[in-house]
Amino acid sequence: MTIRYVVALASLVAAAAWNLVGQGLPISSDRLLKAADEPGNWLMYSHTYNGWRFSNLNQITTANVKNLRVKWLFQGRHTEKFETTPLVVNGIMYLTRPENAIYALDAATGRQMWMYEYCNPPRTFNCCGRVNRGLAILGNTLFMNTLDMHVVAVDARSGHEIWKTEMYDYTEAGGYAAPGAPLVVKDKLIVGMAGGERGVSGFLDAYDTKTGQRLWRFHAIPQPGEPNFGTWAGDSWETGGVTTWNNGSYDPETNTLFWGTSNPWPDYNDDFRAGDNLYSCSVLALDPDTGKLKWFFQFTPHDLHDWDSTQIPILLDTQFRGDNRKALAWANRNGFYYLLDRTSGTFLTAKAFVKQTWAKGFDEGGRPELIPGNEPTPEGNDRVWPGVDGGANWMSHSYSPLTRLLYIFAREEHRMFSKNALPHPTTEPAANVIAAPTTMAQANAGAYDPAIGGAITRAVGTPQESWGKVIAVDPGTGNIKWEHRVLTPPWGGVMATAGNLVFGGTLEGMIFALNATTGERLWTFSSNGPVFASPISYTANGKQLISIPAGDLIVTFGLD
Amino acid sequence: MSRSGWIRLPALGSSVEPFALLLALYLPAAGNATSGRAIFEGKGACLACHAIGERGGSLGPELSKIGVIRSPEFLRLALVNPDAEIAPEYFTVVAVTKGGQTLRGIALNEDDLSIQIRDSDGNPRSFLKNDLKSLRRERRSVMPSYADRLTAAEIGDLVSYLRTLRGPPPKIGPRTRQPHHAYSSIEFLDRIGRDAEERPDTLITALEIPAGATVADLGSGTGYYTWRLARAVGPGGKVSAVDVQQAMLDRTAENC
Repeated sequence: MTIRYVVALASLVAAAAWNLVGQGLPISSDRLLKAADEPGNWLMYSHTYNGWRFSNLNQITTANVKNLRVKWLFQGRHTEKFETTPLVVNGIMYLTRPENAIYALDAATGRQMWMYEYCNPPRTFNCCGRVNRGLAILGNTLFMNTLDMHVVAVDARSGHEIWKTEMYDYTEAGGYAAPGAPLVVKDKLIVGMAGGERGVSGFLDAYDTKTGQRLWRFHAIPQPGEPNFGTWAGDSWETGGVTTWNNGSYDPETNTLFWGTSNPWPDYNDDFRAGDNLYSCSVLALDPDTGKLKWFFQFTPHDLHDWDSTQIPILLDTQFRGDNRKALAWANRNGFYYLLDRTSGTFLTAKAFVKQTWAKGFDEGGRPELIPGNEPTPEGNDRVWPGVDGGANWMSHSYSPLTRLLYIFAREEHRMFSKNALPHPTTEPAANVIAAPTTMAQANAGAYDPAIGGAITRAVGTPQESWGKVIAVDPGTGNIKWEHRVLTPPWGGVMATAGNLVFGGTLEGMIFALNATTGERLWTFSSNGPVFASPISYTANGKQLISIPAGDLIVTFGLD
Repeated sequence: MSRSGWIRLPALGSSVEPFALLLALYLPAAGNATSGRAIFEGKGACLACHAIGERGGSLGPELSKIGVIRSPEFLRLALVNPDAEIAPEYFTVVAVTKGGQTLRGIALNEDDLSIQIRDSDGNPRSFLKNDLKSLRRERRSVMPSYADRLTAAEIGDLVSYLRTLRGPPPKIGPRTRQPHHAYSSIEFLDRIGRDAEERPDTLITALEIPAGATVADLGSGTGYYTWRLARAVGPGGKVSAVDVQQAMLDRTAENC
C-alpha cells in the first residue's frame, strides 16, 4: 500500500467521520424541539413532540405510490414480534429488537453496523409479550427501557453501554416491567412503566441523561396525604396499578409534559377499590422540570374494562365552536374521541368513534353518564362495546397539518367481560380459594386469571362482528370524514405524510397506503407478518423510505 | 439434596371418593365403542371429512384426541345438531366467483385482499377478493346432522367410540432422574407461553372436576396444574401435590 493511498484513505475516513458528527450526531435538545425541520430523520417515538407521527416528506405521493417496492428487510430472528418505532439519524437506523437488543443499521440497505444486547432474567413480567417499543436519543446517546425495570444508556456510535439504572425491583407485587419507549425532554429522560394487570403501584420517572440518576418520580396513584388520595377505598391504593406504559408528548410553549395512564387494578373486579381511582385512565399534564402535576383529566372514572388511557397525546391547534383552541386530541380506548384545552385540561367535547354501549353522554366537566348493564359479570357479559382491547389502544394515531385531519386505526370488536371472586390482596394466600369457570360461557371467555378478577376476555361472536377501520376525524368536532374498513381489529398504528398518504398495516400483514383526503386504498403489500407497530418515514441518500415492522421483520419500501 | 414430599394445598375434606372421579373420566359412556368405530368408518362416512391421525379427510376437525377435549354431551350434540356449538373457523363460507361459480367450504386463511378456502371436496382454493362477486359466512356447519341418519343407539355407540380417542400413548424411553437439574426445569415449567401451548384452563374445564373433589397431582413440578386444580375443586375439595424434588415443592408453594 502506498503512502499516498493511505493518506487518501485516512482523509476519506475523516470525511465520513465529519459527516457523521457534523450532520448526524450529536442530537441537541434544540434539534429535538425542531424535529419537524429534519424530515429526513426520525428523532423520537412520535417524530415530533406534538405526537403527530406526521412525515413532511413528499417524494412518495398519491400519484407514484403504486410503484413503491421493497428495498430491504431486516430479520429480527426472534420468536417475539417487533413492536418498535426505529429512530433514524442521517442514514443510520437505530431500533430495538425483542427482548432488549439495540441494532444500528445502514438505513439505505438494512445492513447491520453494531448490536447491543441487554440480558433480562429468564422470567420477567410484562403482560403482553417480551416486547420493546423503541428508543430515545440525546447527544450521542441512545436510551432504552428494559423488561426488568432498568434504563440503559448506550453510545450511538459504538453500541457500548454508558450507564444502567434500576428504576424499581421488577419482582415486587405481581411484577413490574418497562416495555415502552422513553422520551427526552430538555436534559431529562422521561420513563414510564407497566404492570397494570399485576397489582403494582404506577409512576412516571425522570432521569439525568448524563448519569442515569433519578431526578423526580410522579406517583400515578396519590400517596397518603396527597390530593385525591381518597379516591381509593381502604388500602386498595397500594396495589392499584395505574401505570404509564406508553410514550408521551411535550408542549414547549407551556413547558408541559402530557402522559396517559393505565387501568386501575384488579381490572374486572372492583370489590375492594370503590371510588374514582385517580389518576387511572387519565391524561397527566406535568411540569417536566419538577414532575409536579399541573392538571389531569380522567377519561374513565372507576374503570371496569381495562380501558387504559395510554394512547399517544396529540397536541394540535384547532377551531372549536368558532374559537381557535390550543387543544389536546385523544381517541381513547373507551371508544370516545375527546378534545381538551391543553393549557387547562378543560373538557371541550367527546364523540364516539366506534360502537359503544356504556356512556349516554357527558356532563360539563367531561364525566361520563353511565348506562347500566355494562359491568363484567360472573357468567360473562358480552353486551359491552368496545371490547377489552378498546376502540384504540397503544398504537399511534397521526395528524396531518395539510389535511387537518386526525387519522385513527380504530377497532370495532365484540368481546366478553367476566368478573370472578377475588382474594383481598392483603389476605393470606391459603385463604384465597377462587372459583374456576363453571359455565361454558365463562370457559369461552378465555384464560381465567384470578389476579385480575376475571377472565382475559376473548373475541366472541362471528368474524363479521369484529373489524378494523382507518378513520379520518375532524379534530374540532370529532366528525368522521371517511372510513376505510379492514378485516380485523388492528394492532398497528398509522402515519400520515406530506405526499397526502396514510400508511399502516393489518394484523394479517397487509401493509397499505391510503389517500389521506378520500381514504381510497392506493397500494398494498402482503408481508404476512402481523403488524404490531406504527410506520416511520425518513430519507437515505436523499430518497424517501417507509419502514414498518411486520412480525419479526422490519420491511422498508421506496421508489426506484 | 432432594426427597419426596407432600404439601397440602388450601382445601378441606372431600365428599367425593377420588377413584370415582377417575373412573368417571376413563370409563367410556354407555354405548358400544366397537360398534361405534364401525359406524364411524362405514355407515357414518365420518372419515370423509374427519381424520384420526393420518387417516381421513381434512374438512372437519382432526379427532385423534377428541375424547379428551370434549364431553359425551358435547359430542352427542355435535352429531345431532352440528350448528349448535360451532367454532367460527368452521362456519360455512360461500364464495361466488364473477364467473358465476359457487363454492362452499371452510376458511383456511383470509386477509383484506384474498381468502383461502377448503372446498366441500377437501381441496384448498385461493381467491382474490377482487375476483369474487360475493363472499359470505353462514353460521352453520358443513357437516350434516346425524339425527335422521343414525338411530339413538347408534349415536350412543359413536359417542362411546369418540370417547376412546385419546391420542397416541406417550413414548416412554430410558430415562435417568436428574434432580440436580431442578432449577433449569423450573424455568422450563414456568416458561412464558406455556398457557398458550397447553391451554390449561380448557383442559381443566374438560376434566369436569366436581366441586369438592379430591385430586392427586402426581409429579406436580412447579405447581402449574396444582393451583388450577385447587381452584376447580373449590373450598370443599382437596389437591395433593407430589414431587420427588423438594425445589419443585418449594416453587409450588410460591406459585400460588
